[in-house]
Amino acid sequence: MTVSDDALADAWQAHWSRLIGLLIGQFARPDLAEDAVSDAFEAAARHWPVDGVPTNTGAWLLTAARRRVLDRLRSEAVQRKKEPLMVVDDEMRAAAAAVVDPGAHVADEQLRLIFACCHPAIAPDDRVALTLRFVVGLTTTEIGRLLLVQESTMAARMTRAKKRLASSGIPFATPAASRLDERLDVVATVVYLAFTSGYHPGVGDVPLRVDLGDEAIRLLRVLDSLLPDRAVVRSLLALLLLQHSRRDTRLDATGALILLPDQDRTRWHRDEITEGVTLLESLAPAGPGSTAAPSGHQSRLATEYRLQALIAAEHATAPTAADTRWSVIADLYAQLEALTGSPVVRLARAVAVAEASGPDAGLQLLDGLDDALPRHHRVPAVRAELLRRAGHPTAAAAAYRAALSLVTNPTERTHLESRLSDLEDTTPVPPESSTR
Amino acid sequence: MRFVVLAFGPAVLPAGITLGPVDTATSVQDRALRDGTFDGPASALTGIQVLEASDLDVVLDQLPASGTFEVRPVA
Repeated sequence: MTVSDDALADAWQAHWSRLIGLLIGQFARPDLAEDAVSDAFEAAARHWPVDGVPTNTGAWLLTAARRRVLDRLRSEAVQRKKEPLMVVDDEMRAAAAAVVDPGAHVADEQLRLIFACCHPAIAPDDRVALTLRFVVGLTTTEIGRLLLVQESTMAARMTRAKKRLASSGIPFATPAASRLDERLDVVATVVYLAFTSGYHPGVGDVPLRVDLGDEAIRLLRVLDSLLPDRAVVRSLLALLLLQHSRRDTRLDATGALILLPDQDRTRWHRDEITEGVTLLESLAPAGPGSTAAPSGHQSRLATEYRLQALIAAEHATAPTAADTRWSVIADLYAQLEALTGSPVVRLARAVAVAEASGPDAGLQLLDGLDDALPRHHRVPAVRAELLRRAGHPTAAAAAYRAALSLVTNPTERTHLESRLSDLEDTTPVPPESSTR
Repeated sequence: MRFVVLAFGPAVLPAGITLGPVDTATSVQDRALRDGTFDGPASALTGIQVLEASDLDVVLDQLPASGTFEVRPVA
């Protein structure tokens, strides 16, 4: 990589989202902002290798992008297109227009941009797509791959979503105090979706310019610095740090999934784990009689993330898989299930209870889950494991086959097939029940 | 008497208000928001209001807590 390649990559990392935010702030046209900033980076790719990398890359890019927007506006004025514009207040416009160095004090633009992209009047799928485009800076093609949408469909949806963002009256502003927490919940949900979209099977085949885990965490840090002491932001940040800390051990050299008990814990990122655990400590509800100030209103979502983070912390702080405090985890899952009523949580709880109290206790919790999650291969897969441990190999084999009939992911299929064949190799099968 | 005239499809009311395109519509059901127009029959229409507001959130604040509404900017 040449010097200017590095400078371009750094500049993109540092400035993409800020420039988009600034230009939307000044001109209220997300479509033009996006094209102009893209063009500016393309121009940089042509000019910097020849003319040298400018000292202030952000200012160079901003000037180039602004010029393009003004050119487009002029040619549109000629065609006299009039459409309701995105609402940006005058003070914002003036501030955005005045900024010469986009690195200084423009975090507010990013905040307004996030809240606009995550406004509840935008369709949920579009919120994620718009955030990935405007705030994270992925291309529409990359977003389509992440969200498992065909490229042409993604492009059409993105065009419509941007148009809607610009012309339905959605404000480009941080919400009023009375609705800030409610809107922050929506933003947090989108950020978590962006984080997990990077974990879809098959998505690993697509090289992205950016690590979504890093980006999601960076975004939450920006949110935390601009809107301090918000439980939903801090609890999600704790959760993502703890999950992200395991990123180097999730896959083996062939791209196959490595399960948690088999991951090499020496390669977990300890500094992130420590940070996550510290955040959790700051979020703990004050005990009875405590005179400490409460950590702020905790929405249901904040509590949900906090419980998930506490579970992740148990795994992250256990020196070996055998040291894992399963009864603590089982209790946390019980609280999470009580809060959300989610059958997926119950499934995870069943696993934890089985580790803590034996397979029969876990099996009991699986009752009724097939109806709640009819096409979920993991219910019979977990049942199969527990039946095997409880000493019922025939029933376990039947459950593995049931799981295999439902599984779609090739990595998990391979895993289930190998578990089934392990079982059949060690279990004498009566002749009349062998089917091949 | 006062009357309300509604225009549908390509019809134009020269002395009337033209609504923004359907992609600019936000539907509200008991405070829950949805991207898109009201998804029932036109015959369900029971009321109409035109108001001036700085943005969508200001309009949403003025809606009753329960009921189904559609909000669209004027073109």
